[in-house]
Amino acid sequence: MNTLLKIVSIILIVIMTNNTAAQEVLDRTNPPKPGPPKDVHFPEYFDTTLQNGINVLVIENDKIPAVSVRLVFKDAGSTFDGNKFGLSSLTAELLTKGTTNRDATQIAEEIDFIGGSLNAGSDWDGSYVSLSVLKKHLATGIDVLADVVLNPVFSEEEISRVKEQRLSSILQSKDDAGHLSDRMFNKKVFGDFPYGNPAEGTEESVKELVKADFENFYKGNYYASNLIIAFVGDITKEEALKIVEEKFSSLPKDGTNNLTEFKYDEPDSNKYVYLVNKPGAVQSNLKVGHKGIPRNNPDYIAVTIMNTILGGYFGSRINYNLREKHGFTYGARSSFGPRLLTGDFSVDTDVRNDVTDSAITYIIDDLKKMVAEEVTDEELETVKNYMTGVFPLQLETANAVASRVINLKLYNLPRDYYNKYISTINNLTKKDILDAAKKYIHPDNLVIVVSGDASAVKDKLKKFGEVKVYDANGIEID
Amino acid sequence: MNNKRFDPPAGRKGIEFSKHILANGLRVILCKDDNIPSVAINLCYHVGSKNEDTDKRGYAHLFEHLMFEGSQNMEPGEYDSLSLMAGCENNAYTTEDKTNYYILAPANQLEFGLWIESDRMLEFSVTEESLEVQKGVVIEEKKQVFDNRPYGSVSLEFPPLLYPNSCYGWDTIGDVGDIKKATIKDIKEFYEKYYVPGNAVLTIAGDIDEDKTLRLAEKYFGSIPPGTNGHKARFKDVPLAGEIKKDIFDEVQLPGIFGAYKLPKEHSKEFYIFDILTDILSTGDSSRLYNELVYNKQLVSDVGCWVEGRELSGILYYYAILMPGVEIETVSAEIDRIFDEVKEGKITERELQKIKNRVETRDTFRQQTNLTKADMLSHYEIFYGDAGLINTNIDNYMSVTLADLKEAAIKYIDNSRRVVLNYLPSAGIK
Repeated sequence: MNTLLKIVSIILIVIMTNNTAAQEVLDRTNPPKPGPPKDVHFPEYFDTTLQNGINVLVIENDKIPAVSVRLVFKDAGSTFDGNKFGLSSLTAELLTKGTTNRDATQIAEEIDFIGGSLNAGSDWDGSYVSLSVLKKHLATGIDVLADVVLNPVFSEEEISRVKEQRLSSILQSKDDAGHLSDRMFNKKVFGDFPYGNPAEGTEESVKELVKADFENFYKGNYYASNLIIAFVGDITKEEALKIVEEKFSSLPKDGTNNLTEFKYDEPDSNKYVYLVNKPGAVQSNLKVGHKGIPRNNPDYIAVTIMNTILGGYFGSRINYNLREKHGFTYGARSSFGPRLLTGDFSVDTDVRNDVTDSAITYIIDDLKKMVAEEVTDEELETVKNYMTGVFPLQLETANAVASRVINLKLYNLPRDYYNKYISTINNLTKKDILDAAKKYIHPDNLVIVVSGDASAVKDKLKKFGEVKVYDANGIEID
Repeated sequence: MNNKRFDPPAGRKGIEFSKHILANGLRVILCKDDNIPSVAINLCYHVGSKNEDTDKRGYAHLFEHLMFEGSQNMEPGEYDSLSLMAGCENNAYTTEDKTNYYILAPANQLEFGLWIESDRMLEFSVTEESLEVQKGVVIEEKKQVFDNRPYGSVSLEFPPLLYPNSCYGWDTIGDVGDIKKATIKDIKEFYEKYYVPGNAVLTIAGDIDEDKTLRLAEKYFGSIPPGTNGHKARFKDVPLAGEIKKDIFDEVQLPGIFGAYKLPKEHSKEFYIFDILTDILSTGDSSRLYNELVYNKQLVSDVGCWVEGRELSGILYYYAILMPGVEIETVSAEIDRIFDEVKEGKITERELQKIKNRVETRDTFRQQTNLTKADMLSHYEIFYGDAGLINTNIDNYMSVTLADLKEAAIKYIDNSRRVVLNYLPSAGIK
């Protein structure tokens, strides 16, 4: 395989050019006009649901001789943890830690030897197992993939190991100001709704997890009618269907999970500033926002454009204000994080201690302006051009396309969503953007979270409300 | 102008490109790929923090920020506002050896991208106000990335210990004191010295017509005066006289060990050997460090090692974050034992083949995006004058043998010439 090969064709041409001719005619004062835009097509893909309920997707692209296989168990994300925080993600992690046929070391060794990767994990909206290999190693990769999905054993030894690892990472996350802010923010915005819980678990919840919890979560949530399998890359639909038939048809059609109702209570949030104390911190991490929208909200694209102008890209108002105008920070952004049931909206930045309050004031001012006035023609045109201009980049790799196709299915979006994406963007008006801001941004009902040195910043924060101080464990200390 | 066309070696699926040198010395590399209607324009300057004076540490990186603040025909802020309006994405990064700028443009905005990039090579124009704001931004960047992050000061601690009195003796972020005193005059001098056509490589990869693109590159870049290529390397390495150990108390929950050995430079034979060796040791759950320390003995929550190739030197870094209650000495001894096994020739043929297979996968996936290809073509051209390494570099990995691993490990993994930083929770000293 590793034969030394030689460059076979080198053609050398020498052209003499006349520099000065170019110089005379060149007017650099204005940007050159663009050529006619090229059409961007969202790639075709194959989509079928088998009798046992497995949804098979094939996104074929033979640019490189590689294949990814991505499994998504839909109702198996952290939302389904109940009060066993961390259960979904640890269950996924344990899949690759031993089956009835292979122990953890054999699984790692087999996948590593073919230069592949096999990962399992979860987020709020699903549990994931993905394989990525060169085409020539696909059969081996699939063998291991199917084994970990169908035959996990959840051994006591492996359970103890992943729990210890998780406890150590929970401990370490207390050093991370951004993480401390996220945790506090989620709790205050979502309360007892699942999104208010820590997906990675807490020290208490992780310690209490036992073998039966993992087995039950697996039986409850890993079943055929809950599964999307996407085949991505150098593979045909015939090859893909054959693999599903041979390898995944033994998965039971239905699971035992019956958790379906989630209740959200609006918090009374605007009375306090939540300050997580990080003694000695030289910056304050800020997170300011509230509840957002679910991914299938019909206004999603209008909200995205609105947010992009507000704080969604380098040229946004908030980044301009905090970074380019005042030099308070390396960067500031706002974002909507849309998930299946709902989502969040927040402005996030790290600023030096002495401007912690000024930064919050500027952020609130920008939010108020957003809901009070229409954006300018230039702002809207810039964002439309930017979003349509970078759209091809989001389709550059087969895996990037696959992520979008999977999202269509996961969030019940229309099949032609991406075919209409550019025209939807171009049809939005300044009024649509203002309407979206008014509907989805609430400057008078913000949750304000700061992770930083309380001794340096607490007094400055009082102007935004009563300051409640917490330690890194989330315990109120002042 | 001088043009060369390169195809991938026979029988191998690789990357086709052509290389041209404009009269002013600018090297232009074109690589057609019409997978998506987009182009990556990558402009790489052969200047990094190693070119800085010892009282001007951080200027190369500060300069990178300032390149977005105005040029001959661009007001402050216009580089970004115009490029967003044209539907482009842009960014830049600075290393010890290079400063790299890129813009990703829709295919029909290729000419725009060349216009805007060439304007800031033509003439630099920065106001006092922009300079002051960007000093603030860079100082906050340093706090966010290094000071306010657990173990974040590691990359500030290593360089002066590894490379005392040398141009690799500080991190690219530089020194806050030096940054604060930077003047417009300093910045202009830096620009005139290094931001000249002969010190740069322009790579355009994507949905292009090569002839037209070359004419456009000539139109916008060809008229820029050549300037004087000011690049000079002042690197002189002094081997470490002994092991350097330092305890650092930080706001961390768990102790961490961070070690480094100096290696030969990037693209040396040894560099490839160590790139493979560090993968054998720590890439994948079956790797030696992971399997033994994370999995079997559960002494650490995280462990890794890798090589950092530089133009004039190289470094093997390793680190471990300890599990609660585990002693630093225990883990240090385990890491040394595993390194010793390498020196004793205990790596197997299967482990070597495993990493060669991984390199093959990595090499394949790297061919997916225009930006990665453009970045790699520029990199290989600017440092080695051979953009073709994008296709042939893999041979340098495939030819590594078990004997190479053993021999190189014995020579360079020398504990009497290493730096070790032990990070300890500051809470523990109260």
